[in-house]
Amino acid sequence: MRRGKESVPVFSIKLESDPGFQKKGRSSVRIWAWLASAIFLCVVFVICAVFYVWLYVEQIQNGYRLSKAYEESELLSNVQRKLTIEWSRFRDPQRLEEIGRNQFGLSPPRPDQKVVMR
Amino acid sequence: MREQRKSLNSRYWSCRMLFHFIVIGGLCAIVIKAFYLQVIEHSFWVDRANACLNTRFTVPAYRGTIYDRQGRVLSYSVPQRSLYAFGGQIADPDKTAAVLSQILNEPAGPIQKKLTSTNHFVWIKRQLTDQQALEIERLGVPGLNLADEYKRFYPYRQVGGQIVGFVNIDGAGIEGIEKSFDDVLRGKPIPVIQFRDGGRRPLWLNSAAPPEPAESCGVKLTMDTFIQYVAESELEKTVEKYRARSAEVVVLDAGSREVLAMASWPFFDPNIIPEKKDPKEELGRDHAISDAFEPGSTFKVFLMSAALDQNLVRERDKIYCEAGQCILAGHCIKDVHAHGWLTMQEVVKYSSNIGAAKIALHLGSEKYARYIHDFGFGSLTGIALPGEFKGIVRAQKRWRQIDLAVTGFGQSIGVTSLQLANAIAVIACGGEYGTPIIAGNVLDGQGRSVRQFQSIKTRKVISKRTADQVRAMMELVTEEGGTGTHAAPEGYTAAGKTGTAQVMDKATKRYASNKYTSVFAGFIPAENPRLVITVVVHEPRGAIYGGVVAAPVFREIATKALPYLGVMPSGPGSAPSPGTHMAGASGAHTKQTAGSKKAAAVKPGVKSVQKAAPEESASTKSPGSVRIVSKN
Repeated sequence: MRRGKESVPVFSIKLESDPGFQKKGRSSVRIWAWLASAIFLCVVFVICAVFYVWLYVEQIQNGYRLSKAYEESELLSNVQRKLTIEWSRFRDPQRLEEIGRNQFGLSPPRPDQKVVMR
Repeated sequence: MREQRKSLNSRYWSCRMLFHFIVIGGLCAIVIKAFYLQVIEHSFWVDRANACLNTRFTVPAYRGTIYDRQGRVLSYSVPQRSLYAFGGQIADPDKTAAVLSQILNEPAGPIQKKLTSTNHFVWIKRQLTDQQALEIERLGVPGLNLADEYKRFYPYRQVGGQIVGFVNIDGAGIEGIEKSFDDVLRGKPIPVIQFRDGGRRPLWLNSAAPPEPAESCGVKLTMDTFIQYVAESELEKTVEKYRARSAEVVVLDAGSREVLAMASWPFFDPNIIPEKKDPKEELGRDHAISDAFEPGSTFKVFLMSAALDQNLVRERDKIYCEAGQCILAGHCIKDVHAHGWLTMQEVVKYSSNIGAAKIALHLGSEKYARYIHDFGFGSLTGIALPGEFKGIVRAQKRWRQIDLAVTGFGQSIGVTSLQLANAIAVIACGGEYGTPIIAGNVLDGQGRSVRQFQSIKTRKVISKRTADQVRAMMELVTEEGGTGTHAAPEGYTAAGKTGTAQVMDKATKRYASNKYTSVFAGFIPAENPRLVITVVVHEPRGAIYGGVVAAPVFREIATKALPYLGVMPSGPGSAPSPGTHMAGASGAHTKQTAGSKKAAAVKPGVKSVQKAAPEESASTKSPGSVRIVSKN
């Protein structure tokens, strides 16, 4: 009975006492480690690949966005230039005089309407 | 069993070898083909790929803007689309031409002709309106395309039209500043390559950001739009009133010689350029620099400057004016009003031709010609505008006595309005000649000054003392009794000279009896000149005298421009017109100031000259019948 107790080597605490098991266990750990690292590398690779594809897709999308933004900026720039012209036209003294005379009934001041600031 | 295995092995190995050969051969073929494509035919396939993927476009560089001195935009480029077609690619030219005819408001015939043309590229209409471009875009007719172009707009229309000039449909400067600064203003578009996908959608994949549309360098003029507008409107009123053939005004800043306004009637709107230009039509021509006229009596001030500077005469010297008519150098010379003895000041004030002719003969052609040249007549002023005329001044060696005599009162010589104004500025500014300038700065795309222009003071024409003497004489012209009293605005002292010159009839080569040029040239305020103004009215009807036709234009421009420039009426003789309110002053004080103007109008120095007029003590003989009496 005592011997029987001693003859359960698998669950024995003294693993180092069984060289076969020791060797087998080490290779198993190595396989698991290898598998784990392989899986990890695969995952990293897949992540990197997905990231790369995502980056590429983003690059393309940004390319479209940039292109669209550029077109919009050009359009706004054109509108801004046209508004500058309109603004300048409003400052035309000839036009202002026409508007003053025809729309508002204004006329140049008579001498008695002038006040000289001293 | 063993043999069977052997034969199987040999078949296996032969298949395997064959497979190896096929694979390796295939790989070699791929490598060879790849080498052929990548190395030998590399450029061909690169070009082909680029042609499919890349699209080349140009980022516009707008033509530079032209500003006035206050930064108002005078000339500006705005994107405008143009319609073109690929000839012969339009499916239904008749129908398309009919639709385009309605949109473009043009006859269908010429459009149809263009659409059926065999040319690969044909313009249908350039610089469409936004509405037209939008409607054509909506049509979506294959073969019809819109191109981005730029149109030059001039928001102030005719104001300064001749100075600013204009460009042709391709954006090249044709007249005015647009022409003279074409190299500076012209923009260089940036070519850019951009990707396009299979659906021809643009895609920006370059590492650098897309370049933004840039603006080329601009030009800031010395011209002031307000003063230009005032000058043009006053000139137009006068032209309409006197039904004149044409007229010009030049307004210079006396100190800096900057051209503040330069107007010539008929005016010109650079926005309206006819497609087919009449070669005889002088489109956009600036008559103030390109046309010469005889300045008439305004030239007497230069004669007097020369004579005084040479110490040949003094202010109080007297000259006999032959009671209005005399024979000089074999020709009859007349005055408008008969005068006897006149001082030098009075010769200018009453504008005596006989007095001027005698002084000219006394001065001599050599000296007089040198002064004429030094005042800038007969040579270009150097203003940065195209088409400047140097005027007409005969070579001094060819002058006869009569030429010398009549040049004294502004005949037999041709000057431009700008030359006259610039020469008057010499007297106004102490006798120094400076080049007039129209462009103040060259600005970069962000509006920073990259180059500045300034008047170059090239020579001393007359001494400061002489300039002051002539200025005093010119002041007399605008005071009571002078020929230019209409030139003096309320509240300011003005100095100037009137001129009324007969016009040479081209057909008869003689002076026409009914055609005159009315001139007034002067500066204001007289004591501290700020503006030099020259007004020239060609062939007025109803009135002909410079003092009547041109002087009021001078007054009106000065009245509006001086307060605008911050030069307010000052001094005892500068009270505002009756009825004008004085802020912070009582009504009694205002009346008193206004009433004292006339009393103060005649200066002390002038009074003493008038009193001294009868006193004569010595005389000098001059060539011919010239006799000048000096007072010691």
